[in-house]
Amino acid sequence: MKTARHILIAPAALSLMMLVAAYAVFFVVSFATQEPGGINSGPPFGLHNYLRYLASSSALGVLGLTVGYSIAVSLVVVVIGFPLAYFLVRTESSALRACLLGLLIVTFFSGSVTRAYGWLVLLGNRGLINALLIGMGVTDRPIRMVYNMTGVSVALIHFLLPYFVFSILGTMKNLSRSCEEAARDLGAGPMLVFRRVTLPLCVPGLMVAGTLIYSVALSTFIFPLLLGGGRVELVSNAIYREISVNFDQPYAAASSAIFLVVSLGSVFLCLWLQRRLTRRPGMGEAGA
Amino acid sequence: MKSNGSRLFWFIYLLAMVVFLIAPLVLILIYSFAPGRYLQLPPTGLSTKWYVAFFKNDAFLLGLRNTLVLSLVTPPLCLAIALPAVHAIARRSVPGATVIGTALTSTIMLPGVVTGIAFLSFFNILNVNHGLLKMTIAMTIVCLPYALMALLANYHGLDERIEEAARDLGAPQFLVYLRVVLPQLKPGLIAGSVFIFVETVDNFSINVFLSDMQSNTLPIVTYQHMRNYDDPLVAVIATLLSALALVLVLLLGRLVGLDRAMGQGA
Repeated sequence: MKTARHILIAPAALSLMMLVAAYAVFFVVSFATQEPGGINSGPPFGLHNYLRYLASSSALGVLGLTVGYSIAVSLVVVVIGFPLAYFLVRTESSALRACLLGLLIVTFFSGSVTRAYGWLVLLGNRGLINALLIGMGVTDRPIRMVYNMTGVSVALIHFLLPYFVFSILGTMKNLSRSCEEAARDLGAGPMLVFRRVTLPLCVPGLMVAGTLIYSVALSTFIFPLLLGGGRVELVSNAIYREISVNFDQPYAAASSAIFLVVSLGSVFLCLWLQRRLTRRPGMGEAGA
Repeated sequence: MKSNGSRLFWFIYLLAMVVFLIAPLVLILIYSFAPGRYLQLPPTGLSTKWYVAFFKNDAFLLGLRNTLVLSLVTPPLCLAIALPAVHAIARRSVPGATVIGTALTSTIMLPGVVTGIAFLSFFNILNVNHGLLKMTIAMTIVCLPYALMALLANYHGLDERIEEAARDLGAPQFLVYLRVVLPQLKPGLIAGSVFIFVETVDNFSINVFLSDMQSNTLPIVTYQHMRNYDDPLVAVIATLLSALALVLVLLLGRLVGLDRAMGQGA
């Protein structure tokens, strides 16, 4: 009977093993050498791909840019998205709530290519925003908003916003009103209640949700590809270029391995910081 | 949310958010019905000619077919793998099941491009050359976390005493599962399927490494088209996908409830 039960987990275990095997092969490939002009890679094996990456200032620059950019974009999403989540858990109008929630999910489901294209049409030189600006006489020449960082950022923020709101809604729903009410009864104004009671209570949830969108932002691929016009390159795009243009799979694998370490390392750092912060005396009780 | 000042703040803020969220979707809808090649505002007329052109475009039709195959095969596969695993985890019947479940769920943190390259190297070594097969295997493994999370959340709400009662009444284990547990898993199965479907339709970063000329999916065909042409064909597929998203949201709202669905999936 005991062994029969193990069958239950077997398919899932097999799937996990395949993923692990794929990562293992990829890790081995990262030490291999690309056959010049060919599609195969093989010996000699060594650290040369890693050394080449770590010696390339442009590769490290892209990695640094990606991390810094992801942090900045995540912070923007946290700031503009938090009031929306707050409104969704506090509003008394169930119709308004359902509409906003529905709109967020439609946006979430409509896909990244769809939305990247929408922003291209909206922000492009012949797009709506430029037509309005020229029509109002603000500018006589279109302002370049796509094929640079602006377009990529707008689309990425739009992409991350539903992720953020959904991942924080769960923790915010459990936020009891009684602390806020107690503060109000003691004479605190709405801004003070928000700043000293609501916000601190939400910090752990905000950090977890912020980390989640940071990890999504780090692996952004499609937005720089579609809206960057070849001028914006983040880590994922650089890795893709190594495969699709230079056909150097071992170097791409080594770049990916370094990216993986940086990406997972920074995500775990964020989560560790979050735990440290919530366990601080006083804060821990507030969070419970 | 009482004083006039805060009312004004919420009004302006929510209006800005709604416009921000919906603007790209509305614009591609308008653009997809444009009579000309370029966007005219206000629109000078309505035309379905780009829709006709879309359904005559071989590359897009092939992409549509591949995406449909991939996104309809993957959710059942994922759920078939996740269902027994989640039962073992939730009912603690197999030691080590939780560890495997946690490991699988945390793979959601892996960057898509890295997973894409990992599968590319993996299938190269195994000499698997069938694009759709490679993508189906990759998508099934990558989407497993969504199935696990949706079903686990569903199990948390189940009352184990109902199962006990059925067992006490003499029902064999498989009958208890089939007649008592499975019917209660409907919300998780629906929410999980929808999330996996959406992810498979939209995935670019993994599939782009695995597809070939014959097996390009919609996002890849769309990307290639955008690189070479500037016309509203992409607006057509974007509008169709947004319409599909709306249908899925209405379906989820009716069958599961939006709050519940998002609690389980995201």
